[in-house]
Amino acid sequence: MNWPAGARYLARAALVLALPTMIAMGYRVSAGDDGVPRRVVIEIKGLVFTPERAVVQVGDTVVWINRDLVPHTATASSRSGWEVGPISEGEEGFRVVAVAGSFRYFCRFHPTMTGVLVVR
Amino acid sequence: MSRSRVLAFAFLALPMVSLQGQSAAPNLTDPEVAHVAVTANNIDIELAKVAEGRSRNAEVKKFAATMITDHTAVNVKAVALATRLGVTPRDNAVSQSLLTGAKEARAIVDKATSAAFDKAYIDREVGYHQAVLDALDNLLIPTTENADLKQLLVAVRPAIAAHLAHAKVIQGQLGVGK
Repeated sequence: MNWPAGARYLARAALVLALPTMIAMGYRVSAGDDGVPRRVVIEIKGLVFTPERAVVQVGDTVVWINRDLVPHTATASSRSGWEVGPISEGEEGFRVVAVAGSFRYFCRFHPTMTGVLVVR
Repeated sequence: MSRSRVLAFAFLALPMVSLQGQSAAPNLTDPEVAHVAVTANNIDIELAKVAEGRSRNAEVKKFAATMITDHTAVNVKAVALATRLGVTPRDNAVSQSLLTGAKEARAIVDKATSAAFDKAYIDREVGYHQAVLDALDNLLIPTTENADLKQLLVAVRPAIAAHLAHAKVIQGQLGVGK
């Protein structure tokens, strides 16, 4: 469809004006329901991942914060092989989730520590 | 009876850290509690180093590596805290009891052949961590007066419980098919 030259100009102008606002609002094409990716925190304390089952959106950044004295990892139970860490006491490790699904993980140093990431 | 079973029974018959078995629960001072904590960590670190070298089982080696990492991290904290508080860890009967048990366990471990070694080491770790957990709950945490030292022991407890759970999982795996 051939747009009139004036219409094409107006469309480009609208995009140029709107884009900085969208970026300032943290808009990402891959974000979830509200269009804004989130920083989702999972606390490691007492050798437990809290929350044990975290529901996140594609595009979110999942951050594991280690509040224990000993180091931990968050290691995928599946063959996908992703791992966050080792994370020392007081430090953080993160992963941007890009694929929907349910992903079990554990601490490679303490295999009885387990968690689940539900990515929507 | 196979040689491995004899060794396993020998491990289990060792004087475990049965602090409850003393005639009266000792009332330790904070320097003595600090000494017990550091001693208990060092004992497990030393045996884990033996296991890392001797074991041919991947899960046992990983477990041993975790023991070294975790108990070392706790000792670093304990020593730093003792230094900050101006507390000099003080030797005592409980620490000596731990060391006596460790010496006897080491004698058994050194004689074990490779297959018997893994089971003997893990059986020892199950018993040892259960005893340490009991000691934390029934003696060390209740008897400690300094709030920071008590908090450290409380913070360590989940790690000991996780070590025990991990050791039991491996114990079950080693027992399959026997």
